Amino acid sequence: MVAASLLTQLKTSLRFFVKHPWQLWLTLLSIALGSAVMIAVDIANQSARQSFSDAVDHISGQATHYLIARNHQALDDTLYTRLRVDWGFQQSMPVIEENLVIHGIEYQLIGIDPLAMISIETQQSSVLPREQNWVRLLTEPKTVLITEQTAWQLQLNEQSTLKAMINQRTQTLQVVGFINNSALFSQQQILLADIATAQELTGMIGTLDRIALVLNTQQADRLASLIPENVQLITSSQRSNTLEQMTAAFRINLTAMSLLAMLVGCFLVYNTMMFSVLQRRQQFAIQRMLGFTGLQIFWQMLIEALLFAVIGGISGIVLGIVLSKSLLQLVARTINDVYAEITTGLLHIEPLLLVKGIGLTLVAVVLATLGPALEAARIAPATVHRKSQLEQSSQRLTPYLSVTGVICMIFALTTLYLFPRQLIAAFAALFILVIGYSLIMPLLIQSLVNLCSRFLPASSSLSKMALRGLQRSLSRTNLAIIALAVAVSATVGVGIMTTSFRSSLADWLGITLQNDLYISSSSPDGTRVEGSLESFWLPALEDMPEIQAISHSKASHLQINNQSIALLILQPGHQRSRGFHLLQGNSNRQWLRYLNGEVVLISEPYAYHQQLGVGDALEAITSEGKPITLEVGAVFQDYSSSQGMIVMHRSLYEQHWQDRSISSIGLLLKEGADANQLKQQIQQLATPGQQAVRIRYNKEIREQSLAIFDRTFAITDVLRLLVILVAFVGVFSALMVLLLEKQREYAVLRATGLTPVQLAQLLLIQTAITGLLAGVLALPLGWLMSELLIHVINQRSFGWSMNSVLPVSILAQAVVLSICAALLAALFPIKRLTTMSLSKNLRDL
Amino acid sequence: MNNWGWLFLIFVIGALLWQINQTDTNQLTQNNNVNTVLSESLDQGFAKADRIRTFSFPHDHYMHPKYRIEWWYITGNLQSDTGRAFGYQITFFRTALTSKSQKRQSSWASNHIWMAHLAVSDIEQQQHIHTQKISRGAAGLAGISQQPFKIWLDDWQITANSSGNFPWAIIAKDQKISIDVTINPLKPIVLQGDQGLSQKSSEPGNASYYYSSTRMQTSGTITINNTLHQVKGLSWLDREWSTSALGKHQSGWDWFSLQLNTGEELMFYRIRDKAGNSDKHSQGKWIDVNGNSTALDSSDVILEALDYWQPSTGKSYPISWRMTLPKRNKEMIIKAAINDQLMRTTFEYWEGAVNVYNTGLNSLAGKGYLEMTGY
Repeated sequence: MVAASLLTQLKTSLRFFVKHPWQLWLTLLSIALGSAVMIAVDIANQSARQSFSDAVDHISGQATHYLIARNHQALDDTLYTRLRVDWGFQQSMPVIEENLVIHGIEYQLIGIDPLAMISIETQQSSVLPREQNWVRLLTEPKTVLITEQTAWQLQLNEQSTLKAMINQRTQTLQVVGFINNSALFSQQQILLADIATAQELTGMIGTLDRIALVLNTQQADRLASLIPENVQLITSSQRSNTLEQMTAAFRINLTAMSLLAMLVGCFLVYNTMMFSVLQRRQQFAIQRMLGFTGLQIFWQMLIEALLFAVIGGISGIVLGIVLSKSLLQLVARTINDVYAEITTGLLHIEPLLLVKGIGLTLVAVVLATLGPALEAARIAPATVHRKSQLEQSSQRLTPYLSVTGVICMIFALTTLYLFPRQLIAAFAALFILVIGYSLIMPLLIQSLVNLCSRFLPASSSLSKMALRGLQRSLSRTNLAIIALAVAVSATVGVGIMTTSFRSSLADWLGITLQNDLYISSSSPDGTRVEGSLESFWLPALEDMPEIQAISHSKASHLQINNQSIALLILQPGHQRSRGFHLLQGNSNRQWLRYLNGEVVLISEPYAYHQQLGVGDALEAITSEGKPITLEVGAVFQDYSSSQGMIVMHRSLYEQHWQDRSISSIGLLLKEGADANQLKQQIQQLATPGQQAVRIRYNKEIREQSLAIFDRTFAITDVLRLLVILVAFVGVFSALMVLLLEKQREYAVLRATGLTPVQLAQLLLIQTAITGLLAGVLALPLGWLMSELLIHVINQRSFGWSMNSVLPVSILAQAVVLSICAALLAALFPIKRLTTMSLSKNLRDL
Repeated sequence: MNNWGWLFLIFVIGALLWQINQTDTNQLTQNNNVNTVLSESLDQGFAKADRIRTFSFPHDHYMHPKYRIEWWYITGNLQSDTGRAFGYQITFFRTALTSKSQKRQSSWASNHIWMAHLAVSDIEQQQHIHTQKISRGAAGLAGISQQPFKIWLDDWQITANSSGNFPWAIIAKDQKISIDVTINPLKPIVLQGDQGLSQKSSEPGNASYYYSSTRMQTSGTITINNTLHQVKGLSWLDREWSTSALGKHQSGWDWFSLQLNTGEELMFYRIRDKAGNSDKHSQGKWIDVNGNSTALDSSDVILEALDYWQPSTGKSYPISWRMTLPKRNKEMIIKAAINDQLMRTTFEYWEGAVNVYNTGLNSLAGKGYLEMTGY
């Protein structure tokens, strides 16, 4: 019985939506878009993470440990020989990893010793080819094995040659076979080469990236006591954890962004479902008269919503997967720029992740439908002819909503105060803040509209009409305005944040880059400062008359609490200023102590994450393996790494380290000296064929840094666009429904003398006001969000502090964007209304 | 949704299904790589053992890189102070992958693969423990050096004081077993075959250069599962290098190295054809007490398998033999000291300690080693 009646109910729902196809499509589209953005970000994050548990883990099979250099540079390859020949660790394998580019796609070249692999891998998961192709791999230069997927992607066979860019050099590689069990590498794009070939292709002659080992506890202890001090033994889980922790904050930020899209999506679902209730008021009243209970109607709405959620969610998955491909590129690029080298990898789609996406969509849709469903259930049979109940009831509710909103916002701020360091709490506060503000918005909208109508000139009757019309249908437009406002505020918030960040970064670069020219030894691909400069550089440069002062630095690493932290050793020249913006310990006394090698400087992220301040002591182990205690002299602003950095004066370094090498030189030129000419002179000093040296202008580094910044934030731009798109769809659907519902009203207006142009004007003014309202209301929320993003979320994620900037252009853009979005969304409904058949609509009256 | 939209959706779903399908794992295959490399000739650029050459020592203890394969094969029967008997085998194999060596920048580049097998037969406990190592002959991981003489692979090594002159010291260690012994010949070196050219089939070049040191005084230690045994006894060194060892119709060999209590030794290998019959190129040497050797051909030695042992892999290995030398009026029973002395290495073969008995008399007439391949 129940089932039969439910079926009847659903049939009436179906009939309604068949009659109102636009509403159906738009509801589905908002759900699909909302969940697509969420799922896409999830997949992109997951895939990027998968690249960490990298290909070598498959190749080294059961490797339990890795040997790496403490300074994160390359290992001397003779260590491997000692390991096997002198110390007898048989289950070990040398590894070289380098990214290369084939046809614009990034791949990872992995150099291994196939014979050592036999000792470390399990027979079942052998990656060596079935045939004897690996003999060629061992004996012929430039030979590689590829996966079957790669062969398929690049249209290669087992004998093809291919051109690859490695360290900015094009090399022709010879394919000599397929990697066995290619499926193991479905997440990675890899090429396998013999270790000798890898050394030759990457220029890493005499070095290895790491050594993979299978060790039990005793063997690990024994090995740890044997290895030289600049080498570190880590467990394989330690390795992947480090990378994961490094990028966690970045990924949380992305997830928050995607949840924001979902939140906007929820508003839309609430919106459309509420409309469908309004439009079916009569139908529900009749249903009640026929004996259906309120509860039955409540369930009818929920099941309707669930069906929408399922269909919308599934489309969302499909859309999300498509979207995630481009997102992954952006995520991987950021991780590459800022954190560590990973390959873009292929999409990693876990079924669980999709289930989670659908599940969240269902929950969100059902939650958003609860209100409309309750509303529908409460419709009394007697209200068949009354239309304005919702208007009244919603206006009655406004004060309560506003009070709740204020409580929410106070709660959000309290949360921030109570949990001063948790990132999750900050995001929770952000969301509660947005919801709180949304609850206050109806009151604000009402007040704004009232205010407008009071000050509107009496002459403009059309505007007045438009405003009145808006006032009357507020309960219906409110939600569209709120959805649009939230979406626009997100763009305002993120916009202010990026602008503030960028300007802080530019200021910081100005302070940090004191010299005119920089010379650095660089990694072959030029992305990182690596190795050391040859010793002839300093004396040679000192002889140059154009140079006023020479400073130099060395990049190294310290081990503190088992974690590796970047160490920069500085020998300042005669600087114009300190080159640091000191946030704590900014006194001449502390600076002198630093110059005398008594204290070190730590960067702000390090101070924040480790809760360190001036006067605190650091127990560290040097890259040469010696324990050392350092005192924090000052905290400086730094955006170069979110992990943090320690800066040490050269004099202190030389007290504790044997190493006298330098990795970078800064040159301050005399007034009037020609930097271009000097750069050429310096270039001539570098012996061709020797070590790669980069000579860069101050401006170049500055521009590169800002370019990296812009690239990093490209993903936020994309997400902002997506949020706007979701909101746009919402506004479109709201207006469409609203305008179509008022068809008859407009028909009467037309019949009483309003021309189509005038009607269009009326409607456009109405929509523009809607957009304007949303835009204006978005500004305070956007500003609040930006404050939260800048001073709370960024600080908690990365440990960076920055100054807020309030660019007028972003605010103006937001309002314009909002009005344009509303107008654009209204174009189609307006066109339909102005060209409608008068007689048909009037007949229905 | 318009037509374009549907098409797009179908495409996306198709792509999704393809992705999911990709993650299915391929069927797993057994790894036979090393086998392939070691058994197959890759090119014609290697030198062949096709003529009689002059041997000179210690120079010829060093490697002959123009030939594809080469080995240093040491087997022995030792006894502890308490009379406990052990057999041991340590072999270093060198295989060249190609005859064309290219000049390469990386010191890891090599066209030589080294493989080493180590086995200890604990006859009292009837256990045979063996292990293998494999490595490229580069980057100091494995190889041979002449001055001072050293053959090594990882931490297993054979060393000599001078450029290869005896005595040799052998050290090899694994998780369960290790040996640390010194071997010193009691007799001059025996050139096998025709002045050291050991023909394996009628095809020219299907031969190896082959010499042996048939009676080497041995002392040192053997460790099994952390228990150290002081040992003494006799070892046998076989040195062989070639480019291809067997003819097309041949399937394997049974190789005997026997050290008799009379002070004489016998080496004999029987080459089997694919039907299991003895090939006429089967041959050997009889070495008298003074170290004078006499050639044995296929008619001089009659072999008869008396008993078989079958591992779980299914192949049957003869573990008891009757060896008759009609011209010398000699008949011996040769029995495996342990049935299962199968080397379950990348290529499987049976190599183990044997006891030699005179027919009729139940007394031990000597000891030796037996190698059986191609079963």
